[in-house]
Amino acid sequence: MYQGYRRIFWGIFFLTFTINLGSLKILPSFAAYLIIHSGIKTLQNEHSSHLLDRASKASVVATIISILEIVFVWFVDLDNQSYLAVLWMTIIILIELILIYFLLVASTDILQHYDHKELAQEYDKKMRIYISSYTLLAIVIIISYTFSFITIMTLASIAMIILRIWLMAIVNSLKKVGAFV
Amino acid sequence: MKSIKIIYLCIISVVVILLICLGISKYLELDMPVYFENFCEYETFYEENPDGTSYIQDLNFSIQYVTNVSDSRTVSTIHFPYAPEIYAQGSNYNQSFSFFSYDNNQISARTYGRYSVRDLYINVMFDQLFDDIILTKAIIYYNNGDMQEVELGKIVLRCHESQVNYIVSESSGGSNDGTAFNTYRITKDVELVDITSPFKYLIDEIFEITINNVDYKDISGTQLKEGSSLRIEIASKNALNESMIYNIYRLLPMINYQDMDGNKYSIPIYNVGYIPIYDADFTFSGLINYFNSKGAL
Repeated sequence: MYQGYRRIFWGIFFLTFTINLGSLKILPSFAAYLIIHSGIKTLQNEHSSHLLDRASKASVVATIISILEIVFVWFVDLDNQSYLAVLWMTIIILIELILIYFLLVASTDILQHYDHKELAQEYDKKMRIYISSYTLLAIVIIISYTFSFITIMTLASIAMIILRIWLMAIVNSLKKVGAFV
Repeated sequence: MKSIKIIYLCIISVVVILLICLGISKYLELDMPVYFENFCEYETFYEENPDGTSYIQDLNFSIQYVTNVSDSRTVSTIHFPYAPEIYAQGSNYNQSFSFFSYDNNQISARTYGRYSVRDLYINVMFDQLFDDIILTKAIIYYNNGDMQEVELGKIVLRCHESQVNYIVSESSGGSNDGTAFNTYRITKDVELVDITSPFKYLIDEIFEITINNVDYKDISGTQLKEGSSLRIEIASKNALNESMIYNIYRLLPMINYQDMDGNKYSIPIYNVGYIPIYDADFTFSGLINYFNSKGAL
Protein backbone atom coordinates (compact mmCIF):
# COMPACT_ATOMS: atom_id res chain seq x y z
CA MET A 1 0.00 0.00 0.00
CA TYR A 2 2.99 2.25 0.60
CA GLN A 3 3.70 2.21 -3.15
CA GLY A 4 0.07 2.98 -4.05
CA TYR A 5 -0.20 6.00 -1.76
CA ARG A 6 3.24 7.20 -2.87
CA ARG A 7 2.00 7.35 -6.47
CA ILE A 8 -1.25 9.04 -5.45
CA PHE A 9 0.78 11.60 -3.49
CA TRP A 10 2.90 12.46 -6.55
CA GLY A 11 -0.20 12.51 -8.76
CA ILE A 12 -1.83 15.13 -6.49
CA PHE A 13 1.49 17.00 -6.34
CA PHE A 14 1.71 17.30 -10.14
CA LEU A 15 -1.99 18.15 -10.33
CA THR A 16 -1.38 21.06 -7.93
CA PHE A 17 2.01 22.29 -9.12
CA THR A 18 2.33 22.18 -12.89
CA ILE A 19 5.81 22.69 -14.26
CA ASN A 20 6.00 24.70 -17.44
CA LEU A 21 8.92 25.06 -19.81
CA GLY A 22 7.86 28.10 -21.79
CA SER A 23 4.48 27.21 -23.27
CA LEU A 24 5.15 23.48 -22.85
CA LYS A 25 3.56 21.78 -19.82
CA ILE A 26 5.94 19.11 -18.50
CA LEU A 27 3.18 17.16 -16.76
CA PRO A 28 -0.33 18.02 -17.97
CA SER A 29 -3.34 17.20 -15.78
CA PHE A 30 -4.13 13.94 -17.56
CA ALA A 31 -0.64 12.61 -16.72
CA ALA A 32 -1.18 13.54 -13.06
CA TYR A 33 -4.54 11.70 -13.10
CA LEU A 34 -2.84 8.70 -14.74
CA ILE A 35 -0.31 8.59 -11.88
CA ILE A 36 -3.21 8.74 -9.37
CA HIS A 37 -4.96 5.97 -11.34
CA SER A 38 -1.86 3.80 -11.24
CA GLY A 39 -1.63 4.37 -7.46
CA ILE A 40 -5.27 3.31 -7.01
CA LYS A 41 -4.61 0.22 -9.17
CA THR A 42 -1.71 -0.71 -6.88
CA LEU A 43 -4.00 -0.34 -3.85
CA GLN A 44 -6.61 -2.52 -5.62
CA ASN A 45 -4.02 -5.26 -6.13
CA GLU A 46 -3.47 -5.42 -2.39
CA HIS A 47 -7.00 -4.78 -1.18
CA SER A 48 -10.18 -5.48 -3.05
CA SER A 49 -12.85 -2.84 -2.43
CA HIS A 50 -15.82 -1.55 -4.40
CA LEU A 51 -14.91 1.97 -3.15
CA LEU A 52 -11.47 1.64 -4.74
CA ASP A 53 -13.20 0.43 -7.93
CA ARG A 54 -15.22 3.65 -7.95
CA ALA A 55 -12.13 5.78 -7.23
CA SER A 56 -10.40 3.98 -10.11
CA LYS A 57 -13.33 4.69 -12.45
CA ALA A 58 -13.38 8.35 -11.34
CA SER A 59 -9.65 8.65 -12.10
CA VAL A 60 -10.23 7.20 -15.59
CA VAL A 61 -13.05 9.71 -16.22
CA ALA A 62 -10.81 12.53 -14.90
CA THR A 63 -8.01 11.41 -17.27
CA ILE A 64 -10.37 11.32 -20.28
CA ILE A 65 -11.80 14.76 -19.43
CA SER A 66 -8.29 16.19 -19.09
CA ILE A 67 -7.32 14.79 -22.50
CA LEU A 68 -10.57 16.14 -23.99
CA GLU A 69 -9.71 19.56 -22.53
CA ILE A 70 -6.42 19.59 -24.44
CA VAL A 71 -8.29 18.72 -27.66
CA PHE A 72 -11.08 21.22 -26.87
CA VAL A 73 -8.85 24.25 -26.53
CA TRP A 74 -7.83 23.82 -30.16
CA PHE A 75 -11.42 24.52 -31.20
CA VAL A 76 -13.05 26.45 -28.34
CA ASP A 77 -11.69 29.29 -26.24
CA LEU A 78 -12.24 27.92 -22.73
CA ASP A 79 -10.74 30.99 -21.13
CA ASN A 80 -13.41 33.57 -21.95
CA GLN A 81 -16.03 32.91 -19.25
CA SER A 82 -18.46 31.49 -21.80
CA TYR A 83 -21.21 29.15 -20.56
CA LEU A 84 -19.17 26.23 -21.89
CA ALA A 85 -16.07 27.41 -20.00
CA VAL A 86 -18.04 27.70 -16.72
CA LEU A 87 -19.66 24.30 -17.29
CA TRP A 88 -16.35 22.67 -18.18
CA MET A 89 -14.64 24.06 -15.08
CA THR A 90 -17.49 22.74 -12.91
CA ILE A 91 -17.23 19.27 -14.48
CA ILE A 92 -13.50 19.16 -13.68
CA ILE A 93 -14.16 20.35 -10.10
CA LEU A 94 -16.90 17.73 -9.61
CA ILE A 95 -14.91 14.81 -11.00
CA GLU A 96 -11.97 15.70 -8.76
CA LEU A 97 -14.35 15.97 -5.78
CA ILE A 98 -15.79 12.51 -6.50
CA LEU A 99 -12.33 10.99 -7.07
CA ILE A 100 -10.87 12.32 -3.81
CA TYR A 101 -14.04 11.37 -1.91
CA PHE A 102 -13.90 7.71 -3.01
CA LEU A 103 -10.15 7.59 -2.44
CA LEU A 104 -10.44 8.83 1.15
CA VAL A 105 -13.53 6.76 1.92
CA ALA A 106 -11.79 3.66 0.51
CA SER A 107 -8.74 4.43 2.69
CA THR A 108 -10.98 4.63 5.77
CA ASP A 109 -12.53 1.33 4.69
CA ILE A 110 -9.09 -0.28 4.37
CA LEU A 111 -8.11 0.92 7.86
CA GLN A 112 -11.32 -0.51 9.29
CA HIS A 113 -10.71 -3.78 7.48
CA TYR A 114 -7.33 -4.05 9.21
CA ASP A 115 -8.99 -3.21 12.54
CA HIS A 116 -7.54 0.30 12.91
CA LYS A 117 -10.89 1.68 14.04
CA GLU A 118 -9.56 4.82 15.72
CA LEU A 119 -7.43 5.70 12.72
CA ALA A 120 -10.40 5.02 10.44
CA GLN A 121 -12.51 7.45 12.46
CA GLU A 122 -9.78 10.05 12.33
CA TYR A 123 -9.47 9.80 8.53
CA ASP A 124 -13.24 9.76 8.13
CA LYS A 125 -13.33 13.09 9.98
CA LYS A 126 -10.52 14.47 7.79
CA MET A 127 -12.39 13.31 4.68
CA ARG A 128 -15.52 15.18 5.77
CA ILE A 129 -13.58 18.37 6.50
CA TYR A 130 -11.73 18.11 3.18
CA ILE A 131 -14.84 17.44 1.07
CA SER A 132 -16.84 20.22 2.77
CA SER A 133 -14.00 22.76 2.46
CA TYR A 134 -13.38 21.76 -1.17
CA THR A 135 -17.09 22.19 -1.99
CA LEU A 136 -17.20 25.59 -0.32
CA LEU A 137 -14.13 26.79 -2.23
CA ALA A 138 -15.46 25.26 -5.47
CA ILE A 139 -18.67 27.28 -5.07
CA VAL A 140 -16.69 30.48 -4.44
CA ILE A 141 -14.48 29.77 -7.48
CA ILE A 142 -17.46 29.07 -9.77
CA ILE A 143 -19.23 32.29 -8.73
CA SER A 144 -16.10 34.45 -8.88
CA TYR A 145 -15.03 33.01 -12.25
CA THR A 146 -18.49 33.48 -13.77
CA PHE A 147 -18.73 37.10 -12.64
CA SER A 148 -15.02 38.05 -12.85
CA PHE A 149 -14.49 38.74 -9.16
CA ILE A 150 -10.74 38.57 -9.68
CA THR A 151 -9.61 39.23 -6.09
CA ILE A 152 -12.00 36.67 -4.60
CA MET A 153 -11.02 34.20 -7.34
CA THR A 154 -7.33 34.65 -6.52
CA LEU A 155 -7.90 34.23 -2.78
CA ALA A 156 -10.07 31.13 -3.32
CA SER A 157 -7.44 29.64 -5.66
CA ILE A 158 -4.73 30.18 -3.03
CA ALA A 159 -6.99 28.56 -0.42
CA MET A 160 -7.55 25.65 -2.83
CA ILE A 161 -3.78 25.15 -3.16
CA ILE A 162 -3.46 25.13 0.65
CA LEU A 163 -6.28 22.57 0.81
CA ARG A 164 -4.50 20.41 -1.79
CA ILE A 165 -1.29 20.60 0.28
CA TRP A 166 -3.29 19.37 3.27
CA LEU A 167 -4.63 16.54 1.07
CA MET A 168 -1.05 15.64 0.15
CA ALA A 169 -0.22 15.58 3.87
CA ILE A 170 -3.20 13.23 4.47
CA VAL A 171 -2.11 10.92 1.65
CA ASN A 172 1.47 11.05 2.90
CA SER A 173 0.35 10.00 6.38
CA LEU A 174 -1.76 7.22 4.82
CA LYS A 175 1.40 6.09 3.00
CA LYS A 176 3.17 5.72 6.35
CA VAL A 177 0.19 3.97 7.97
CA GLY A 178 -0.11 1.74 4.89
CA ALA A 179 3.46 0.55 5.36
CA PHE A 180 2.44 -1.10 8.64
CA VAL A 181 -0.90 -2.72 7.70
CA MET B 1 -23.05 4.40 4.58
CA LYS B 2 -23.56 7.81 6.20
CA SER B 3 -20.69 9.54 4.40
CA ILE B 4 -22.35 9.00 1.01
CA LYS B 5 -24.85 11.72 2.03
CA ILE B 6 -22.08 14.30 2.30
CA ILE B 7 -20.91 13.74 -1.29
CA TYR B 8 -24.47 13.89 -2.62
CA LEU B 9 -25.02 17.12 -0.71
CA CYS B 10 -21.75 18.58 -2.03
CA ILE B 11 -22.47 17.61 -5.66
CA ILE B 12 -26.02 18.98 -5.46
CA SER B 13 -24.73 22.27 -3.93
CA VAL B 14 -22.17 22.73 -6.71
CA VAL B 15 -24.69 21.90 -9.44
CA VAL B 16 -27.32 24.27 -7.96
CA ILE B 17 -24.76 27.10 -7.76
CA LEU B 18 -23.71 26.37 -11.36
CA LEU B 19 -27.33 26.57 -12.54
CA ILE B 20 -27.93 29.81 -10.61
CA CYS B 21 -24.75 31.35 -12.08
CA LEU B 22 -25.69 30.30 -15.62
CA GLY B 23 -29.27 31.56 -15.09
CA ILE B 24 -28.14 34.99 -13.88
CA SER B 25 -25.56 35.17 -16.71
CA LYS B 26 -28.27 34.37 -19.25
CA TYR B 27 -30.53 37.06 -17.77
CA LEU B 28 -27.73 39.65 -17.94
CA GLU B 29 -26.75 38.75 -21.50
CA LEU B 30 -26.94 41.55 -24.06
CA ASP B 31 -28.60 40.81 -27.40
CA MET B 32 -26.27 43.20 -29.18
CA PRO B 33 -23.32 45.35 -28.09
CA VAL B 34 -24.33 48.64 -26.45
CA TYR B 35 -22.45 51.73 -27.63
CA PHE B 36 -21.93 54.57 -25.19
CA GLU B 37 -22.91 57.98 -26.48
CA ASN B 38 -20.29 60.50 -27.49
CA PHE B 39 -20.49 64.26 -27.23
CA CYS B 40 -17.20 65.13 -28.79
CA GLU B 41 -15.42 67.53 -31.07
CA TYR B 42 -12.28 66.51 -32.92
CA GLU B 43 -10.21 68.89 -34.99
CA THR B 44 -7.69 68.57 -37.73
CA PHE B 45 -5.69 71.17 -39.61
CA TYR B 46 -5.53 72.12 -43.24
CA GLU B 47 -2.13 73.24 -44.38
CA GLU B 48 -1.03 74.60 -47.72
CA ASN B 49 2.56 74.05 -48.70
CA PRO B 50 4.54 76.70 -50.58
CA ASP B 51 4.52 74.48 -53.69
CA GLY B 52 0.70 74.70 -53.81
CA THR B 53 -0.01 71.23 -52.46
CA SER B 54 -2.23 70.88 -49.43
CA TYR B 55 -2.40 68.44 -46.58
CA ILE B 56 -4.99 67.45 -43.97
CA GLN B 57 -3.97 65.23 -41.11
CA ASP B 58 -6.11 62.11 -40.50
CA LEU B 59 -8.43 62.24 -37.49
CA ASN B 60 -8.04 59.46 -34.97
CA PHE B 61 -10.44 58.97 -32.12
CA SER B 62 -12.05 56.14 -30.23
CA ILE B 63 -15.51 55.28 -29.03
CA GLN B 64 -16.45 52.70 -26.40
CA TYR B 65 -18.97 49.91 -26.33
CA VAL B 66 -19.86 47.09 -24.04
CA THR B 67 -20.62 43.54 -25.03
CA ASN B 68 -20.88 40.12 -23.43
CA VAL B 69 -17.60 38.91 -21.99
CA SER B 70 -17.60 35.83 -24.23
CA ASP B 71 -18.28 37.83 -27.41
CA SER B 72 -15.37 36.99 -29.71
CA ARG B 73 -16.49 39.26 -32.56
CA THR B 74 -14.36 42.19 -33.55
CA VAL B 75 -15.30 45.22 -35.61
CA SER B 76 -14.13 44.98 -39.19
CA THR B 77 -15.60 48.12 -40.79
CA ILE B 78 -17.48 51.26 -39.84
CA HIS B 79 -19.65 53.39 -42.07
CA PHE B 80 -21.31 56.72 -41.32
CA PRO B 81 -24.61 56.83 -43.28
CA TYR B 82 -25.13 60.58 -42.78
CA ALA B 83 -21.60 61.47 -43.86
CA PRO B 84 -21.02 59.33 -46.92
CA GLU B 85 -18.31 61.68 -48.18
CA ILE B 86 -15.78 60.62 -45.56
CA TYR B 87 -13.70 57.48 -45.64
CA ALA B 88 -13.32 55.86 -42.23
CA GLN B 89 -11.74 52.74 -40.85
CA GLY B 90 -12.80 51.11 -37.57
CA SER B 91 -10.96 48.48 -35.60
CA ASN B 92 -10.70 47.05 -32.08
CA TYR B 93 -6.94 46.95 -32.53
CA ASN B 94 -5.02 50.05 -31.59
CA GLN B 95 -2.59 50.64 -34.40
CA SER B 96 -0.82 53.46 -32.65
CA PHE B 97 2.87 53.08 -32.04
CA SER B 98 4.45 53.86 -28.72
CA PHE B 99 8.11 53.95 -27.88
CA PHE B 100 7.80 51.06 -25.47
CA SER B 101 5.48 48.72 -27.26
CA TYR B 102 3.81 47.97 -30.52
CA ASP B 103 1.06 45.49 -29.91
CA ASN B 104 -1.72 45.33 -32.43
CA ASN B 105 -2.74 41.71 -31.79
CA GLN B 106 -4.64 42.32 -28.54
CA ILE B 107 -7.99 44.00 -28.68
CA SER B 108 -8.44 46.76 -26.15
CA ALA B 109 -10.95 45.29 -23.67
CA ARG B 110 -11.60 45.40 -19.94
CA THR B 111 -13.80 42.89 -18.14
CA TYR B 112 -16.44 43.82 -15.57
CA GLY B 113 -18.47 40.81 -14.43
CA ARG B 114 -20.23 39.35 -17.47
CA TYR B 115 -19.41 42.39 -19.61
CA SER B 116 -16.44 43.53 -21.62
CA VAL B 117 -15.88 47.23 -22.27
CA ARG B 118 -14.06 47.62 -25.58
CA ASP B 119 -12.49 50.47 -27.48
CA LEU B 120 -13.24 50.98 -31.14
CA TYR B 121 -10.52 53.01 -32.83
CA ILE B 122 -11.67 55.11 -35.74
CA ASN B 123 -9.45 56.66 -38.35
CA VAL B 124 -11.02 59.22 -40.70
CA MET B 125 -9.22 60.43 -43.82
CA PHE B 126 -9.89 63.63 -45.73
CA ASP B 127 -8.61 64.97 -49.00
CA GLN B 128 -9.96 68.51 -48.91
CA LEU B 129 -10.93 71.30 -46.54
CA PHE B 130 -14.39 70.64 -45.12
CA ASP B 131 -17.11 72.36 -43.11
CA ASP B 132 -18.03 70.80 -39.77
CA ILE B 133 -19.15 67.20 -40.17
CA ILE B 134 -21.62 65.89 -37.60
CA LEU B 135 -21.73 62.15 -36.97
CA THR B 136 -24.81 60.87 -35.14
CA LYS B 137 -25.21 57.34 -36.45
CA ALA B 138 -22.85 54.60 -37.55
CA ILE B 139 -23.24 51.22 -39.14
CA ILE B 140 -20.85 48.74 -37.59
CA TYR B 141 -19.82 45.57 -39.42
CA TYR B 142 -18.39 42.71 -37.36
CA ASN B 143 -15.95 40.08 -38.54
CA ASN B 144 -18.60 37.33 -38.39
CA GLY B 145 -20.82 39.19 -40.86
CA ASP B 146 -23.15 40.78 -38.26
CA MET B 147 -24.19 44.39 -38.82
CA GLN B 148 -25.46 46.88 -36.26
CA GLU B 149 -26.81 50.40 -36.60
CA VAL B 150 -25.79 52.46 -33.56
CA GLU B 151 -26.57 55.88 -32.17
CA LEU B 152 -23.28 57.68 -31.57
CA GLY B 153 -24.56 60.74 -29.77
CA LYS B 154 -23.02 63.72 -31.56
CA ILE B 155 -19.47 63.78 -32.85
CA VAL B 156 -18.34 66.95 -34.59
CA LEU B 157 -15.34 66.76 -36.92
CA ARG B 158 -13.80 70.13 -37.64
CA CYS B 159 -11.07 71.34 -39.92
CA HIS B 160 -9.12 74.55 -39.29
CA GLU B 161 -6.93 76.43 -41.65
CA SER B 162 -3.66 77.16 -39.88
CA GLN B 163 -3.73 80.77 -38.73
CA VAL B 164 -1.70 83.18 -36.68
CA ASN B 165 -2.78 83.37 -33.07
CA TYR B 166 -2.10 86.03 -30.47
CA ILE B 167 -3.30 83.93 -27.56
CA VAL B 168 -0.57 81.32 -27.26
CA SER B 169 -0.97 78.22 -25.14
CA GLU B 170 1.59 78.05 -22.33
CA SER B 171 0.63 75.22 -20.04
CA SER B 172 -2.25 72.98 -19.11
CA GLY B 173 -3.09 70.36 -16.55
CA GLY B 174 -5.84 68.27 -15.07
CA SER B 175 -6.70 66.39 -11.94
CA ASN B 176 -8.80 63.34 -11.25
CA ASP B 177 -11.12 65.47 -9.11
CA GLY B 178 -12.57 66.78 -12.39
CA THR B 179 -10.72 70.09 -12.51
CA ALA B 180 -8.40 71.28 -15.26
CA PHE B 181 -6.72 74.46 -16.35
CA ASN B 182 -5.08 76.06 -19.40
CA THR B 183 -2.84 79.11 -19.34
CA TYR B 184 -2.08 81.32 -22.30
CA ARG B 185 0.27 84.21 -23.03
CA ILE B 186 -1.06 87.25 -24.88
CA THR B 187 1.29 88.43 -27.63
CA LYS B 188 -0.76 91.37 -28.93
CA ASP B 189 -3.49 93.60 -27.51
CA VAL B 190 -6.77 91.76 -28.12
CA GLU B 191 -10.41 91.82 -27.05
CA LEU B 192 -12.42 88.68 -26.27
CA VAL B 193 -15.66 88.45 -28.24
CA ASP B 194 -17.44 85.31 -27.11
CA ILE B 195 -17.24 81.56 -26.73
CA THR B 196 -19.03 79.31 -29.18
CA SER B 197 -19.70 75.60 -29.09
CA PRO B 198 -22.24 73.22 -30.63
CA PHE B 199 -22.51 71.73 -27.12
CA LYS B 200 -23.19 74.92 -25.16
CA TYR B 201 -26.20 73.29 -23.43
CA LEU B 202 -23.92 70.49 -22.20
CA ILE B 203 -21.21 72.86 -21.03
CA ASP B 204 -23.76 74.70 -18.89
CA GLU B 205 -25.12 71.42 -17.52
CA ILE B 206 -21.87 69.60 -16.78
CA PHE B 207 -19.00 72.07 -16.49
CA GLU B 208 -18.08 75.36 -14.91
CA ILE B 209 -15.65 77.38 -17.00
CA THR B 210 -14.04 80.57 -15.73
CA ILE B 211 -11.70 82.81 -17.70
CA ASN B 212 -9.46 84.90 -15.46
CA ASN B 213 -11.97 84.14 -12.68
CA VAL B 214 -14.94 85.41 -14.75
CA ASP B 215 -17.74 83.10 -15.89
CA TYR B 216 -17.19 82.24 -19.57
CA LYS B 217 -20.59 83.71 -20.54
CA ASP B 218 -19.56 87.17 -19.29
CA ILE B 219 -16.23 87.59 -21.08
CA SER B 220 -17.44 89.64 -24.03
CA GLY B 221 -15.44 92.87 -24.30
CA THR B 222 -12.63 91.78 -21.97
CA GLN B 223 -9.45 93.57 -23.04
CA LEU B 224 -6.17 91.66 -22.81
CA LYS B 225 -2.90 93.57 -23.02
CA GLU B 226 0.20 92.26 -24.76
CA GLY B 227 2.40 90.38 -22.25
CA SER B 228 -0.48 89.59 -19.90
CA SER B 229 -1.71 86.06 -19.28
CA LEU B 230 -5.01 84.27 -19.50
CA ARG B 231 -6.01 81.43 -17.22
CA ILE B 232 -8.99 79.22 -17.99
CA GLU B 233 -10.24 76.92 -15.25
CA ILE B 234 -12.61 74.05 -15.88
CA ALA B 235 -14.46 72.22 -13.13
CA SER B 236 -16.94 69.37 -13.35
CA LYS B 237 -20.31 69.95 -11.70
CA ASN B 238 -20.65 66.19 -11.00
CA ALA B 239 -23.99 66.41 -12.74
CA LEU B 240 -23.77 63.12 -14.65
CA ASN B 241 -26.70 60.88 -13.88
CA GLU B 242 -26.88 57.08 -14.30
CA SER B 243 -27.69 57.24 -18.01
CA MET B 244 -24.85 59.73 -18.72
CA ILE B 245 -22.04 58.31 -16.61
CA TYR B 246 -20.44 56.18 -19.35
CA ASN B 247 -20.78 58.72 -22.17
CA ILE B 248 -17.67 60.35 -23.54
CA TYR B 249 -17.55 64.14 -23.33
CA ARG B 250 -14.70 65.83 -25.15
CA LEU B 251 -15.65 69.38 -25.95
CA LEU B 252 -13.65 72.04 -27.72
CA PRO B 253 -15.41 75.36 -27.13
CA MET B 254 -13.82 78.13 -29.19
CA ILE B 255 -12.72 81.46 -27.74
CA ASN B 256 -13.38 84.06 -30.40
CA TYR B 257 -11.38 87.29 -30.14
CA GLN B 258 -10.30 90.21 -32.26
CA ASP B 259 -7.32 92.53 -32.42
CA MET B 260 -7.67 96.29 -32.26
CA ASP B 261 -8.02 96.41 -36.07
CA GLY B 262 -11.08 94.16 -35.93
CA ASN B 263 -9.39 91.05 -37.35
CA LYS B 264 -11.07 87.97 -35.92
CA TYR B 265 -9.30 84.90 -34.53
CA SER B 266 -10.24 81.87 -32.49
CA ILE B 267 -8.57 79.22 -30.34
CA PRO B 268 -10.02 76.09 -28.77
CA ILE B 269 -10.24 75.52 -25.02
CA TYR B 270 -8.79 72.10 -24.28
CA ASN B 271 -9.44 69.82 -21.30
CA VAL B 272 -13.20 70.33 -21.27
CA GLY B 273 -14.30 66.76 -21.00
CA TYR B 274 -14.97 63.56 -19.17
CA ILE B 275 -13.85 60.21 -20.51
CA PRO B 276 -14.64 57.11 -18.42
CA ILE B 277 -11.64 54.82 -18.72
CA TYR B 278 -10.49 53.43 -15.45
CA ASP B 279 -11.81 50.74 -13.14
CA ALA B 280 -13.01 53.51 -10.81
CA ASP B 281 -15.41 54.60 -13.56
CA PHE B 282 -16.71 51.17 -14.58
CA THR B 283 -18.24 48.55 -12.30
CA PHE B 284 -20.32 45.46 -13.00
CA SER B 285 -23.26 46.80 -10.97
CA GLY B 286 -22.86 50.24 -12.56
CA LEU B 287 -23.14 48.71 -16.03
CA ILE B 288 -26.25 46.73 -15.02
CA ASN B 289 -27.86 49.96 -13.71
CA TYR B 290 -26.88 51.73 -16.95
CA PHE B 291 -28.47 49.00 -19.10
CA ASN B 292 -31.61 49.08 -16.96
CA SER B 293 -31.86 52.86 -17.38
CA LYS B 294 -31.47 52.41 -21.14
CA GLY B 295 -33.82 49.40 -21.32
CA ALA B 296 -31.07 47.24 -22.79
CA LEU B 297 -31.69 44.30 -20.43
